This record gives sequence, structure tokens and C-alpha cells, in this order.
Amino acid sequence: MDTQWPRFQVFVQSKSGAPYMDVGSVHAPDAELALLNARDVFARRPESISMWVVPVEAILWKTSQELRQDAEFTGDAHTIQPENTANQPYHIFCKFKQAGTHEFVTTVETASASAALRQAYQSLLHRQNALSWCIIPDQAVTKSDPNEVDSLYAPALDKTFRMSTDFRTVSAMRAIKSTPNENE
Amino acid sequence: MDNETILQDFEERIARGEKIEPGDWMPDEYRRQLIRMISQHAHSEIVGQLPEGAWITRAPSIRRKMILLAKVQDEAGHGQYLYHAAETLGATREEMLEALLAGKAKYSNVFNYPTLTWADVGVIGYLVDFAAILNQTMLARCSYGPYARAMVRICAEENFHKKQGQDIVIRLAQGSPYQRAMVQDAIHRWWWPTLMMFGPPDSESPNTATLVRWKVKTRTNDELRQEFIDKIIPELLALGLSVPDAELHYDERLKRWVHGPIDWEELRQVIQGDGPCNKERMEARIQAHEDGLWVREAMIAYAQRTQA
Repeated sequence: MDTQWPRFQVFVQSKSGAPYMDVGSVHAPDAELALLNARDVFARRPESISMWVVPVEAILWKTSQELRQDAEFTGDAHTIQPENTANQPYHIFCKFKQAGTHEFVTTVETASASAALRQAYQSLLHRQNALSWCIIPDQAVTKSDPNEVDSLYAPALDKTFRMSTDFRTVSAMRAIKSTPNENE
Repeated sequence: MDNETILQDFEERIARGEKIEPGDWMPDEYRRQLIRMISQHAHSEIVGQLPEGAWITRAPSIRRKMILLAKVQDEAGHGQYLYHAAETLGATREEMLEALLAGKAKYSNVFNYPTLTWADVGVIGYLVDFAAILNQTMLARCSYGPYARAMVRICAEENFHKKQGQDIVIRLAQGSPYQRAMVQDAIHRWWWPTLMMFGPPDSESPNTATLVRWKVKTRTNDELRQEFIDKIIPELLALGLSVPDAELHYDERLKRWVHGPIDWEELRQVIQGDGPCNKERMEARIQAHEDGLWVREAMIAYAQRTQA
């Protein structure tokens, strides 16, 4: 029996103007607590000013390999059935570099996630460079409150001892190696 | 495409340096090996909190206490990154945690040794975390995207772990005769377990060839162990410290340090659950899980109330 808490994918904005990036996932009983878990797991250092959490089952993932095997994307003639639901915003994330992760690219308004993927795929200039796609309905996103930026992320700022640069071991070792060992 | 063509296509992708993402086709064996490695790695991070966690209340200064707290919290975070990576392959968090708490899961040998003095905290950071960095730097280039991404995050943070440990070791090595003796004793006790951490010798590591071909690993256990020795020995000697290996010597022809025989039987026993602290670690882990029950229940109650 699966009793585990729902899993939420976490997207982090590192600084103003930077795209949201997919960093991983956390488990939590709801989105609000997922944001708190995500802060503890992914922002122990000054690396976030805003976060999104999204239930994983709300996300459509497609790799370029999957798209190539999908006739709707490879075929010339698309027979797209009109969908009887209202348009809503979908956020499009792509991975462009082999060693990279999914980053925010654009938002489109369509009737479904697969329609959003199709529209983004057809309009995106560098689509051939996209190695993997992640489509998120805006209504599934829970965003960290901009008014709580300080209480969520500022505590990481003054903990400089978490950074390796806070320890001068390289220069200490150099100094030790350049002086004769008096203990010998 | 038939199976052979699909496999060939997969191996060509790997050879070109492409990363495999969760939706891509992959051999069952690739998935199985990754789940095995990543879950063991995650368990190691979680259990790895315990030996050092024991010193948080006894750290010699408030600054050292904050550093140690931050480090142990990082290890918990690393466990989370890794459980996530295993979940992208179809493993569930629940089955992984159950396997750990039931004592069925394997984790790194090195966390089954006791931390007897404050110097152990320094030596774990300096030796054990440095050894982990070498392994994890390799894994950051692994062919499976989510595992490689978790490793990139972990490596950045492990550098802090290593340097805070090295900082403690340097201070103690330059301290009073008592402090010098304490750090020397800690190095003697952690040296062999750290060498064993890289895993069995290549000649007895049945998975290595496949894992290297699929670029899950790009270097062998023995190669990584050698790099560790070559880098750490000159530093320890400069600090006036020694390792408990009478046969250790520098081979001028090979241009590398050559170590004496490693007690592989000890590694086998510790991995099988029969090390000095295996029982204690499992008891502490189960206790922590049970002690956290009220927090999980409170979170569920809160979520239910806010949804109502």
C-alpha cells in the first residue's frame, strides 16, 4: 500500500530576472508544507529568492526521444481535435544542455498540456536544441509568498560558515608545506 | 525497432556523452543498477548524520557547533536529493525507507565506526568527505541526468564539509601534545575504513565493467582509491601525521604511493551488518523515525484542516 505523502517538483529562482530552474522534488502532505520542506532541502545557502512547488502528477514530461516517437510531432499533417475546455496558462520548461536541468522558457495559453507542448514546440526558435520538456499548468503551481522572502530565504545569508570559501585551508597548507616540519 | 537496435541506440547515445532522462528508453539493468547505487548512496547520507551528530552537543565552541549543525543538516539534504533521483527511476520513497529501517538496505561501511573524540569530527570531514568528493565528482558526470544533477549540488556542499574538517585537523596538528596525539589517534582509526569506502578491488567488483560502459561510473574503485592516497598522503606528512600502514611507500617508477594490503574481510563484515556500530546506527535511525512520528502527524492534521 502506498502511504507516502504526495511528491512535489521544486523550481527555484536564484536571483531577480533569472529563470526558474527544476532542482528536484520533496514530499509533503500539502503544497504549503512542501514549500517549507523545499526551503530546507534546496535553499540552505543563499541560492533562492522564490520557489514554485507543483504536484508531480500535474506535470507533463517529454524527452526529445519521446517526441520523435510521437507521430503527432513527427508527422506532417496534424489532426488536432478541438478541445472543449477553456484555455489556461501553461509554463514551458526545457533542458537545453546535456548536463543541464529544465529551465523556464515561456508561458502559453492553451486548452491542455499536450496542446501547450505542441504550440511551444512549433513556435520555439531553438526547439531542436531542447533535449527534454516539462509542461506545468499554472493552476497547479504554489508559489512562495513574495512578502515572506525574508523569513524564508534571508536566514541563509549570514551563515557564511556554510560556504567552503569561509575556510582558509588551502593557504594554511601552503604555509605549512613551505616551512620545515619542526616535529621531525 | 527491435530490442538489439534499441540497445545499440542507447549505447551510442551514452558514447556520445548524452544524458539519459527519466522518459528515455533505458535497459532494465541500467535502471536496476542505478536504483541500487542511488538508494545505497541516499541511505549512506542519512546514516552518515549519526556519527558526527553525536558531537553537536559537545562541540568545543559555538562556532564549531553551528558549523557541525550545518554540515549534518546538509547530509540530510543530500539524502533527500538522492531519494528524489531514485524516485525518477520508479523506486518509491516509502520502499526505500522501509528497506533502510528493516535493516535490509546497504549503506557505506564507514559510518559504522564510533566517533570517540572531537578529532574524529575533523578527520571525518578531512578524510571521509574528501574520499566521498572524489567518488561524487565522478558521479556528477554520470550518464543519468537526475543523478548527475544531484551530484553537482552535493559536490559543491561537500567542499565545505571537507574544508571544515581539514581546518579542525590543521588546528589540532599544530596544537598541544595532547591535541596532536588525539588527531593522530583519529587518523589511525579512520584510515583503513576510508580506503575501504571506495569499495572492493576492481578484481572483485563484478558490476564495474558494465557500469563503466554505460558511464554510470567513469572510473574504477581502485583508480579513485589511488587518487585519494596520492593527494592526501603528502598533506598528512606535511602536518607531521602518519597513517597506520608500515608498507606504505612512494614508488618512484610508478610515480605514486603504494599501500599495504587492505583487510577486505573487515569490509565484507561491516557491509553485511556486523561492524562495530551497525546495530547502534540502526537503532538510532529507527528511534529518530519513531520520535518524528508526532511531527508527521501534526503536518497531516494541519494539511487536513487547511484543506477543509
